[in-house]
Amino acid sequence: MNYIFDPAAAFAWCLEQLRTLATLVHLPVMAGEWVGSFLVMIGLFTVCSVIVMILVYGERKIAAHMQSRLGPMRVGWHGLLQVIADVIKLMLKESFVPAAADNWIFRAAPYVVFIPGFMALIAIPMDRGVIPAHVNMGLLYILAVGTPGVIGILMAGWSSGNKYSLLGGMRSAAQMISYEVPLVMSVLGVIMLAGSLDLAAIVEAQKVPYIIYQPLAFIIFLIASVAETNRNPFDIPEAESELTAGFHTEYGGVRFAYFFLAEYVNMFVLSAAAVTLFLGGWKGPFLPGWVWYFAKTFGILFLFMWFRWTFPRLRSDQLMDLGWKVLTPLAFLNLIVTGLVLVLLK
Amino acid sequence: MMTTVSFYLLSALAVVSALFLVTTRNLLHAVLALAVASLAVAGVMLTLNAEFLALVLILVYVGAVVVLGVFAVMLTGHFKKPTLPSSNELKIIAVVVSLALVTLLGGVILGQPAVTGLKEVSLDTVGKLLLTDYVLPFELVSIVLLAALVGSIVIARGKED
Amino acid sequence: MSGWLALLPEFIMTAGLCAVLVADLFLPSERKSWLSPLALLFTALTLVALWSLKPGLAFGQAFMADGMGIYLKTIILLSLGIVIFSAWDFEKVWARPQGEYLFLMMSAALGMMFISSGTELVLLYVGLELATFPLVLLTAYRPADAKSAEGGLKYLMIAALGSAILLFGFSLIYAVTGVTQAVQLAAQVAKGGSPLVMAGMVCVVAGIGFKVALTPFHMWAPDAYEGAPTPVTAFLSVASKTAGFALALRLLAGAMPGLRPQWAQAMAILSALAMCLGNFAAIPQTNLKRLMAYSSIAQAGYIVMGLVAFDTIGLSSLLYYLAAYLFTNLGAFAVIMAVERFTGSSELSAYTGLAQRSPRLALGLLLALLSLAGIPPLAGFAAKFYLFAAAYGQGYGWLVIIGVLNSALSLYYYLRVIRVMYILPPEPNAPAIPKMPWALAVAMLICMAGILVLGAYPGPFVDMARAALVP
Repeated sequence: MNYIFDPAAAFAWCLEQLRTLATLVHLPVMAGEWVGSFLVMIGLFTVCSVIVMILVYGERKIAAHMQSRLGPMRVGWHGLLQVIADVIKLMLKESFVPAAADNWIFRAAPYVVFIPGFMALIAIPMDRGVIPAHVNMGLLYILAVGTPGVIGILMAGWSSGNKYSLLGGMRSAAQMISYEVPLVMSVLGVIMLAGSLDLAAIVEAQKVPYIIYQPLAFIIFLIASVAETNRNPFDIPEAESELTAGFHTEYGGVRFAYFFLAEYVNMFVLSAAAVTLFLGGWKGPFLPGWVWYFAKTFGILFLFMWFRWTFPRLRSDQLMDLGWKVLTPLAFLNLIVTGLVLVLLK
Repeated sequence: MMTTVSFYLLSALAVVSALFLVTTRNLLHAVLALAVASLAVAGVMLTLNAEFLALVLILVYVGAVVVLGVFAVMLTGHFKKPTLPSSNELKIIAVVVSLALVTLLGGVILGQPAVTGLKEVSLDTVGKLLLTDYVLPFELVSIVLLAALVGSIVIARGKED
Repeated sequence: MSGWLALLPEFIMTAGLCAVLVADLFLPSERKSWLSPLALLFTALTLVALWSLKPGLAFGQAFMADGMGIYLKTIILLSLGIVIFSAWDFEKVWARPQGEYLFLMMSAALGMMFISSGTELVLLYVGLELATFPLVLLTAYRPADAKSAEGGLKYLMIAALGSAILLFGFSLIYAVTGVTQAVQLAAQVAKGGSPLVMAGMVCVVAGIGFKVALTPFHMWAPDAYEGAPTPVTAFLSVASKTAGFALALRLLAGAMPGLRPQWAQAMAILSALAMCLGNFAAIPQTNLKRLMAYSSIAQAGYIVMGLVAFDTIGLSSLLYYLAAYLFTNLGAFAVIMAVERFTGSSELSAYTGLAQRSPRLALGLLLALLSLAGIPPLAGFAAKFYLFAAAYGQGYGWLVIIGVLNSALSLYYYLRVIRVMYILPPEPNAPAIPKMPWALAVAMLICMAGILVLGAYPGPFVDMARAALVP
């Protein structure tokens, strides 16, 4: 059996081995499944971390080459181990809580930002039949579990007891709420085409990638995702020239690492969602599905990085104008046109 | 078994965070407790197979209501120590009345024979019902939202400029 | 597709409120006074459409344009029209935007229209939200004025509590019966009310109590009435109350007639409490709008008697009372609006010697207050008489006695206002009251005519109310 071309079978095989193992050590089969899902979680977390490491390394290298520099070169071959060195450094640093901070909220905030991204990731299909957790209303699930992240950022901003953090947190939350509207509205066109909220079904429904039918929605989704992840050109929440580092000003050590992790996981989730909704998910010729899935996702992520090192930062009011006066009406227009066309074609 | 345990755990979490919500004097903590309570209630709904309702609850309460609440607390300018000015003088009466209500309603609800044979409602059905039997309220909600939008803007704008 | 026809008045109203909003966007600021005629035009069109409807048209099982719905909607639309007409130049007097004011008033009226005809729980609830929320916003329409902000906030909190309780009641009822249509609900309830349905019914009664401001649930009324711009207060006192009773008729009489003994008992107690508290609390008031708030609580107490009686006489006299209340209260508020326009105050002291400063205004308020107290040739007397007769006929003698005693008590504070106007001499430096603007004068004349005609010839109007009850 070729597990490279059939990760679903590979997954099933792993579970089967676990079940056998459980019966061997006289545990009920049920426990095997629990251990299985626990291992899936651990595995996913590892995958997450690896992806983030690749992204961080990629970002630094891409940034450097766009600016005619070399980027990290010293640790390992072409600086490959630089990220690992950074992680070790962050882990070893003291996790500091400022005196003015609201202790519990300050400590909890990084995890509140990270967990939603991670939870969203588990519902996105990586290949036919390979979804860590299959949710019937996958799309709604991603949108819903993603929302508490905003609260985490507000918690961080408020609990630091620092005006830069507070301003950063407020800006970030305002931005994320504003851009959630066009983000969700742009997705509705896809739902109408596919007639389902199930992400796997949406991928299966795409005879041609939906970007052909919904180019406007794709562009809106892309812009809104950049804003949702607070990245340049929409990075006013952490505009270092005015706000030091926004809501992570007071954070260091492992907690800072979690914010970092969360930002990249969120980027990955939104890119993966864009791939699933508009680019046909795992579908593609010749190569196995999961390769296509990762290739497309990293393609979108490359776009994100390209944006970052190309566009200047927007002002706060320009950002709101773009969201409310351009993207939201366009998203509505797209929805109306899609609906009309669907009704007329029927 | 698993579901039952999670049901009770989540319910307990919802009750505890709701109690914290009404007793804490730090407004921001209260709003965050509301977020936890909403998430717990959404979890309870998940254990009862009401997936759609749970997700919408998270989307609306955690995504919108709580975030607006946090905004409001921050914008009122008391973000350093957002404590309520005074304690509730009617605390004891409030406790007695709530307990009486809980006992009464709890008694009535427990006395009710359990509803059985419920079928899981798919999202398809919900959508179709909203656009057939319940199309009037569904459309009317849009006017409610329009009125709320217009009215809030007029009031927030304050003096005519 | 004839079902859609039942919704014709609502469609026209929706078109009207959208038209006002769009026109407001494009009209230059010096032409904003054109918005009122536009709103009035649509209100009139709605009324015409309403009266040309064949009673009994229904839209599925959710909406019923029956005689009662048409009657209640007529009262709501008349009050909307009269209020818009009398506050023609809202923007000049209250220094707040006109377009949004009209839009919110019309959307509240739309919500009330849906309550009047709704025969399904979800529609009734959404209609209630639409009827309440714009009024909350209008109460807080002048946030720079602390009273307006306070009134709006209190109204918001308590209205939210009220609708939450109502919704909880709905959910309990739905949990047992599994239906939301009034007809099916009535059949289910008739099979025997389980304790859970009873609990739901209690919540529904409380929710209605909040809406019509019956006593333990009345706390919002005085502050909201005082803080709101006076035209809004007028609309709030008449149309919102009518909608509240429409809700009661649809929910208690329409969907739960089987539980009549239980809810009638609860309502009778609320009625007695509202009459007593309203009238006693009105006595020390020095602000006329606040006094009218307590008076309206007491009036709600009287009106509930018709519901308690729950026979043709009781319900038809309830409907008739609402018509009388429309003209009486709007007449009183027309005078309050006029006095406020020239003196900038609604305190009782602004009315000192009004009879000499402006005899017409004083006469108008005199008629309205006497009608509220229930003095014979006026509308209020006939209405109260029918109500008391109906309650007595159903064996609620004790309630009638409380009602009669309270009417006598209410005369005390109404007469106090009359004394200030007629017996006290005007203060030397009191601001002059010039000729009234013609729109306000016409509105007042309509109300006075209504008070006199409804009082002198109640027969045809009672017949109309009775005819409205025939399904």
